[in-house]
Amino acid sequence: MLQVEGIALRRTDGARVRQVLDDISFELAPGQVTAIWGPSGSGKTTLLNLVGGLLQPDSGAIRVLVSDAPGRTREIAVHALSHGERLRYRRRHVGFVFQFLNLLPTLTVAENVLLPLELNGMPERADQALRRLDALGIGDARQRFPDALSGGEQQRVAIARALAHAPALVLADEPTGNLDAANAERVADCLWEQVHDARAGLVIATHNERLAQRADTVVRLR
Amino acid sequence: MSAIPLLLRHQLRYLARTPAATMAQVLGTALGVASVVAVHLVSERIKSQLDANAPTAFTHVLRGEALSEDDYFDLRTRWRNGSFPTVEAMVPVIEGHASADGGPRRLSGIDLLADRRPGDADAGGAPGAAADLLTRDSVLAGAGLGLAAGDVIRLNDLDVSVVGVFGTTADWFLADIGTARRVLKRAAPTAVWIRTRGDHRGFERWLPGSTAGFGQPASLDLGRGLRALPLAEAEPTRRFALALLFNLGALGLLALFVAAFLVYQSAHANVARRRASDAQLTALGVGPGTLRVLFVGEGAVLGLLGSALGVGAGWALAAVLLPVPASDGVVPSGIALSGVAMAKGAICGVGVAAAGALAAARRSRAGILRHAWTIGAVLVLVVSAWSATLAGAFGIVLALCLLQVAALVPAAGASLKRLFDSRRLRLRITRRAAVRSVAGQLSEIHIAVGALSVAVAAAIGIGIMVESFRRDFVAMLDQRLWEGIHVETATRNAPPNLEWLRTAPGVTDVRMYARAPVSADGVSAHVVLTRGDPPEAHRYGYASAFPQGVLLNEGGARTLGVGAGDTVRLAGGRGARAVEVAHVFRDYGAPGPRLIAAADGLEPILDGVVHDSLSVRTDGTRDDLLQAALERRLPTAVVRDHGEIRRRALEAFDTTFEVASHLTMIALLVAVAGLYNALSELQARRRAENRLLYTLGVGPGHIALLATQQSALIGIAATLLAVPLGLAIAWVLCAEVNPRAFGWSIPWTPTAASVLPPVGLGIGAALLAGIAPTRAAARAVTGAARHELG
Repeated sequence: MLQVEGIALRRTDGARVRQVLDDISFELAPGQVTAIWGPSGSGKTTLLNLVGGLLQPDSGAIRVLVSDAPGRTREIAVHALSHGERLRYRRRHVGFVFQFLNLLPTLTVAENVLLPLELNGMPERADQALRRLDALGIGDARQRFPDALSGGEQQRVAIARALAHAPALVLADEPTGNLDAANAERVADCLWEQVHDARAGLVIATHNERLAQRADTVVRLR
Repeated sequence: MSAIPLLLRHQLRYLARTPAATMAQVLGTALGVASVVAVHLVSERIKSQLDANAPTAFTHVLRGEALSEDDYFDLRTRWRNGSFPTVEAMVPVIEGHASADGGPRRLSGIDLLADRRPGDADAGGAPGAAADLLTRDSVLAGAGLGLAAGDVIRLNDLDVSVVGVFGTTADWFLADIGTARRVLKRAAPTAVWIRTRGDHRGFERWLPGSTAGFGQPASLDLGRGLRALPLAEAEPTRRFALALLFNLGALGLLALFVAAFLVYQSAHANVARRRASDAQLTALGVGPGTLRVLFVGEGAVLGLLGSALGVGAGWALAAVLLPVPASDGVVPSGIALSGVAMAKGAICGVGVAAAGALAAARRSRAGILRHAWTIGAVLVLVVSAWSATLAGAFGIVLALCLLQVAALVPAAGASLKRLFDSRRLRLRITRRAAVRSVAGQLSEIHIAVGALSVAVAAAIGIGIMVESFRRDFVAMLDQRLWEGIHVETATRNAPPNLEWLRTAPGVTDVRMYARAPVSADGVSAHVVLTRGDPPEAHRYGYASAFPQGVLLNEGGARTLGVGAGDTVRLAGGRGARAVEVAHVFRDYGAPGPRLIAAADGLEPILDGVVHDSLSVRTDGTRDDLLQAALERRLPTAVVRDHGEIRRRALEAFDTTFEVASHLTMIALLVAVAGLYNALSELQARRRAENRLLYTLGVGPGHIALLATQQSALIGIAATLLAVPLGLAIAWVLCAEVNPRAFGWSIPWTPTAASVLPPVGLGIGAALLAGIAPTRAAARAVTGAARHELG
């Protein structure tokens, strides 16, 4: 469902040209997890941004197989999309979980989760999205604002939001980086479980070796 | 080793790397200072123009039929010997009416060598004019006469040259006393103009016009039976001019208030942006005192730069607002930049900027400071409401403005936050996030929102006051000036034979008016004697005849503490009588008690009755012919069409208050700049939220729309809060400030026409201020995604 073929990206900083990513390729099937592992500055987040359509590669291809309706699939060539098309691709087919600043502080937990549904005009999925909060153990927090939640709870809300609109892909950037070991384990469990149940593909950027080892495939960056 | 050089380098680099923020502070300060300087210069100019139209340069006038040259020289000798320490200048004057091409005109001849001021002030910018007045038969002509320098006119039987023009609406001539003596053929002075040392001159220098309502001087006892009257009593036009000036002064004060908020906000925002790096410095051990000194120093330096720009811009702005006719040769062809204006601008720019930086650096004290301001404002409000003085009325206005900024705007923000936090809020989720963000931060940008609110409120308040004032003034003119002609005779007695006038075609009524001094309940007053019939009563807004009663002006009723139905005891030179006050009428101009009474009822007890005017009521068909006939038959009388009097009065009113609308616009412009800074700060704080929205698939256009909605919400909140404040300011100006200053009240009549335009301007101003931050918000999300997520 996700095919990344030989992508490369350069950054120009004044007169200096830096090769951020060079000839990266990997594939991901529905319900599977790919970990992008590497030290700080190796380009993990950049690779996620390329897959999410926030950036465009200098060369290479990123293809995503998405389903617009039951039984009807099509392939999106993310690398070739215009700015507006990438915006729509991201809105409809991608879910995001970040390390920090995951939730809008001025929206309640329920509103944060329902936001992608409103953006995509999918009100019929609201009940299912909110039920996921129960499954994640934070059903009681629906009407609370994010500043009243712990870091682990906020990450679980972010997972619920990332999956609310049934995206093809979930992109997670160091989702447990800000949590203690116990909470990190719990959030990782939730993420794996929910993504598996939703038959979405998960690409997770991490420098946590243990988390990377849980993935079906690992892309190592230097 | 001191860390100061390193910290200074850090600070300078920060300023250099954030040129937009640095420029925002400098330009914000410049705009605030420009408005202070422009308002000051405009007020100074208006004051000097009004001075030229009515002789406000002097405070008292001594007049008397029996005043001789010996009296004057005796008086002057005693003054120079120190008998009148409060008297600053004493000038003999010969006044009278001279026959000119357009009919009789007032001519005032003053001894230019006795006091430099009239010659200097009126001939400013025309070197040699004063010398011309002294050395040859020449005059300065009031601008209302339509003459120009170089014209030659015949006054009585003497040809005189016009060497300059003064004022904007004045319709009289000013000459040296020698010329007036030759034209009017009088040897002795008819009056002495006196100027006493003012108590509020320093205050007036800093806030031109504001002291015009601080109470008029009492009459001056000059001994030997001579008593000089305050000029306002002798010259009602001066009283009115002072009222206009005073209201402009009040507006200037409000503009200063708004400008100070802008400068404060600009400096505050620039420091507040650096909280993250300041926290790092504090963690590294840099003391809060050191940081404060650095920030205050930075605020002062940037404030100084802004002040330098602002003084120049304010000077230019004043020149644009008050284009000055340069061709008349007398009115100065440019606006002089006074030292006081520069100092005022610099104090506002540097001092307030440093204070704003200090407040931002002492963030933990912000809440305490706000509560302190609130408590202070409440105390001022209580004391001011209790006080019956003019300062008290001003105090009410200032306290209300302070409360608006320090308490009401933050409270409104908290209420909005509670409202928007409601789970039942029926808005799209993205819009919910945007409005909650604004409501949550309203208390943090309360200075800017409060300043916009005060500026809009000032526009509403001044607008209602001016509209109400004008409406009532027009109604009064319409009542008093019926269709017809007013004749002022130059003698103490009425023209002997008026039968021809009563039977002239087009004439429906001829009324004689006399006046006399009187004591009302022991207070010096003057009474106008006429017919006590319903038409006369109608001129003063009363429906019935008043053969035995009197009509009393509002200022007099206030002074005497009486109202309609009460009785006052009138004492004249020949007796006393208790009379009933039939009606209290509005009267813009007379400072003391003025009574209208039926001549046959009251004249027997009065002494010194002067019959010097008459009113000819006409059907309006032959007024021109009648006027010409009156001028022909009464060559020394001043004959004026009532329509012309009305037109001139309204012209003076509108000219002055046209400037008021300019000043209001400046205050609004300043508020827009303040709000721009605040909205920029708001969008900068929302950058992370906007970035998240963008990542989730919300486009830059949608984000810009949300930012616009936030600006509109702030504009709506600020202007809605401004409406009650504006109504309150208008009420205080109409019902408290004007009565306390001048004895007259203005009916408080708010209309949609005076409230809605400022409200629309306020919302428009907020949207305008939000354009750049909105665009920046939209641009930032794409850039941020590229640079920060990457």
